[in-house]
Parts: sequence; C-alpha cells; structure tokens
Amino acid sequence: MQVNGVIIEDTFAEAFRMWASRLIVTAIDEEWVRIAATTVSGYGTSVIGCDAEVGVERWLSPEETPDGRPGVSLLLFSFNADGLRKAVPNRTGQCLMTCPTTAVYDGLPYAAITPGDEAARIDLGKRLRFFGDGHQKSKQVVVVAAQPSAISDQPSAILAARRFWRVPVMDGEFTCEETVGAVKAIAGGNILVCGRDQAGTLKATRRAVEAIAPMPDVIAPFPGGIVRSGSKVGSRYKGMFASTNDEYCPTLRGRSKSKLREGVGCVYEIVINGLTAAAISRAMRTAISAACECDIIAVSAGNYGGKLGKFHFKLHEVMA
Amino acid sequence: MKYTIHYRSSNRLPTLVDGSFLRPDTLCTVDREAFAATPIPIGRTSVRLDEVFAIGGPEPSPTPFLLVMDTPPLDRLGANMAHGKLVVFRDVGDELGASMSGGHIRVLGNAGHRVGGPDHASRRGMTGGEILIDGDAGDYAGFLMRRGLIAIAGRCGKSPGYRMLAGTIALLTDALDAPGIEMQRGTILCLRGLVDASNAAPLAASHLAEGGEVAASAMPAMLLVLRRLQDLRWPLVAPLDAARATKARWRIASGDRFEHNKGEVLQCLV
Repeated sequence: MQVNGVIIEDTFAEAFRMWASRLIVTAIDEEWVRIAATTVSGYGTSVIGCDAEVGVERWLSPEETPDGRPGVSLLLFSFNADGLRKAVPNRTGQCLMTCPTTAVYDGLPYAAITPGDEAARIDLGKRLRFFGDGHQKSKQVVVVAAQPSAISDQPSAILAARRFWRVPVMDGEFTCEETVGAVKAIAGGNILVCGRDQAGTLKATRRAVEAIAPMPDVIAPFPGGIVRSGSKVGSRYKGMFASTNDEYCPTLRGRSKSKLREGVGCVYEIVINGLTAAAISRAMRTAISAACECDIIAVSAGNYGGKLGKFHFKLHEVMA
Repeated sequence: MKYTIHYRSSNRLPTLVDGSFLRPDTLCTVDREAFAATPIPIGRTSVRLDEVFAIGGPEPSPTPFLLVMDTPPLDRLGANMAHGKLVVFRDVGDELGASMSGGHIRVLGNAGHRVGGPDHASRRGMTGGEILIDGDAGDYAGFLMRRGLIAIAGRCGKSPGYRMLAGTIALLTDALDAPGIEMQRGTILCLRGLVDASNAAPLAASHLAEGGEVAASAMPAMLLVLRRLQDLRWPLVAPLDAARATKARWRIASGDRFEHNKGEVLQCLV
C-alpha cells in the first residue's frame, strides 16, 4: 500500500489496556494554562518508568470551561485505577495546586456515578482539601460539561450538583473537584515515521503530531509528541524490561537484523493513547496522512509479535 | 413528562392555601388520568386536581416538568421535591421549596417568606436543588438551608440566609437587612455590581467581620456559580456579562461572628 508515494508497511501497532482520567485545568490566562499543563505532564511519558502517561488532549476556550476562563483538557493514563488513585492526586497537589491561579475540574463527570468494572471514581479534592488545615470549604454547583467526547459524557436528564473543594492559598483559593472519573482506555497505539535524515523525518513527524493535536480523546504523551528511543520487550541484561528497538536503529544496519528499507536514515515514533479504539484508529489515520505529505520513505508501526497487547491496529485497515 | 396547569378561578371551592401537592417528581411521572385524579386536600375532604386546575399535556420531557401558568399564591410549593422542574408564572406564598432535596424551581413572580426553609418542624431547610425567583422574596430566605442554590432577582426581606447551615444565596440587591444572621457556613452573594457598575457601600452589619477585596478569578468556585446563573438566564431583565464577571472583584465579609465566621457574604464590585 502507498499513500502519496509513501509505503505503508503491512504491519500493526500493538496496544494494551490502561485506565484514564481527564482533568480540565483553568487559569487566569493562556500563559498560566500552558505552564500548568507543561508542569503536570512533566515526567509523564511512559509507565515503564513514570507513575502515569500524561498529555494535553485539547486547549479549551473560555466558553468550553466550567468557570469561563481559558483552560486545557489533560488525559492521564495508568495501568489500573489504583495507579490513577496515586498519580492524579500527587500530580495535582504538586503541579497544579502550586501553580498560580489554577482550578481543576473533572473531565469525565458522568463516569462511574455508580462504580463498576468499566469505570471508577478517584478521590482528588477529597484528599487535597486537607492542605486547607481546617479552613477548606466545599461548594456544590450544577456544572454542565461543554466538552464533546466519544466517552459517553451525555448530560443526564437530571443534572446533579457537583462538589468542589475550595482550599485557601496565598493568591486566593485553589478550587478542585471532589472526585474525578476514571475509565478503561487504551495505550500504545503508534506509528513509525521512516525518513531519510533527522531534519526531514522530524519535519514530517511534527506535522503528524500537529494534525492530531486538536483531536478529542487522544494524547501523544512523549516529548513534543515524538519518541526517538523506540523500545522492544526485554534485554540481554537482567532486570531490564525494555531496551532499544535495534531493528529500527540506522547506525546498527549491517550489525544486527534490520527492518529499515533502503535509504532510511532516521525513524521517529508517535505513541497515541486514547479513551477508545476508534479514537486511536482515527488519530493514527490522521497522523499517517499528514506525515505522508512530506518527503519520507515509509510508515510502519511497533508491535511485539502480538504477545503483549490485545489491541491490534493494522495499518492497512486504519488507512482503508 | 411535562404537564401544564391553569387555575380555574370560577370554581366555588374554598381558597387553596397549601400547595405542597404540586411536586413534579411525583405528579409528572403518571399518566393523564392519574394526574387529573390526584387528590387535593381541602380541609377534611379532598377534591380532584382537575376540579381546581385545567390540565394541558402530557408532553414528552426528559425530566418531570410541571408548568403552573396560573395559580393563587400557594404556600409550600415544591416542598420536599427531590428532582424535576417546577416553573410558576405567578406569585407564590411562603415556604417555597421547603426541605426540597433536588430539582429546579423557577418563579417568575414574587415569593413569600422562608424560601427554601424547613418543612414543618424539620431542623433543616433545603438540602439540594435550585430555586430561582425573578421577582421579590419575603423575610428569611434560605432559613436553615443546608445545600443548594437560591437566587432572588428582586428585593429581599429581612435577613436572607438567617441561620443558614450551608449553601449559596445569590441576590441582585444591595439593600440588605442584616444578611446571614446566625449563619454557620454558606455563601451569600450580592451581585448588584454586575448589573449596575456604581460602587456599592460596604455592608454595615455588626455580626459580620469585614475582610478585604480579592479578584473574582481568585475564587473560581464563585465563577462556577455565576456561570450556572448565566446558563439559567437569570435574571431575565439584565443578563450577567461574562467578561465583567471574570474581571470583577469580591468584597469579603465573614460571619456570623458568633458562629466562628465560617459563612461568607461576598459583594461584587466591578
């Protein structure tokens, strides 16, 4: 298969089950929203070494946020709901409560009003309120989510009031939703952009990341959305779960088994985590189409022979 | 389901006083026959609802919805209601939404005393839901209120938020007679500044401790309340302006002094 003269390899991206929460963070202006988003998503690239995979889903206009200030929608992924129970309050407490003027709201308010296997509630303001040392207050307000999403965030017919904690801080109050929703989600959708050199491949990969940036329900959690150290499972060293994906390293061509086509001198990966398989598939298609507008040789995908994850995104089906 | 009712003014029945039977959550979930046959207690006897009111509907509605087009000013309207929507186009009597726990009440006329207060001997007023009044309200609005929102667009009687436990009361008047006497927690918002930019005088009340002023953005939870009022298009006469709402300041007073100053009276300045 070819798109715009670029070869689409007959392979698949292998993704696996994770859990996700969505936080809506607002601040006094776009600058502080950006700082808050950058800080809270720091060291949140891969659960191989981080507590959660965190990224910006979408930037929100004042009309789209609960309090009418500029905001951002963030997705946080962890292996299970318990992982999110640690990561979400820790990151919020250290990176958002400390950030000037911010407020934190639940982006999945209709998830798990009755907890079950598919969704859960995570205590957030309920834990962080104790920072208020007795001066904290709560406020219940009916807030209608304005954000479109594939996850069934349909406002129910009877609008229940949501509870927010108001923790007094030195610039006013830190407002934080009492609990946030967590849902089953998918992580590890990916594409490999194979180009001639660093500059050209980076340009194509950046264009692909920019194309998926406004898409709902997905994030690309790595630096600037791009991974240069794609990994394989296992290592020749004891205790290493992952090591470099030598089949795609251009400097190892000739020394170890290579999957690189003739002329490929650089490969970048975009990892896509999403709330649903459909959202990941849509984002992969958009990313591949955008990358193929540039001068690259092939697009491939990373997998582990189908052994690790139960979600397989076949490139030819995604582009069909 | 949605039902619309009109009072039949020509009937020869004794004057109705108690309106607590007008609850959308119980009335608007039954078919028209059962709705029409709902007994209305009058003295020791009762009459059918359709003897007193002309009925329109039912129409499909995602939430139980009772529209009262014409009625004498009944007391205890929406008392104890748990969900659904009640809209009244006329004045109502005392104890509107007494001890209600959820749902939404909108009154386009005036309301009497103890809006959202306790029903009968209950020690708590409303524990949830929203009451919006486009006209005036009587004394002690939010008496013993525990949760929820009361918004009054017109004038307001003695001590709104009297002995309130928690919750939110939004007012559009600055002419307040001793707001929040013996309030334990909760918020009373004076939003006059949003519709009239003239700088209001500080609330002089000996039971309140004066705080300073902060930017509206310093209290995002209050922006949520303003946003909700805007979504509900309250008040109809002067829609709140979002840009001004986010640029506004709050003048903070806390009280009651004898209740550890945990309640707050916030005056909006633009």
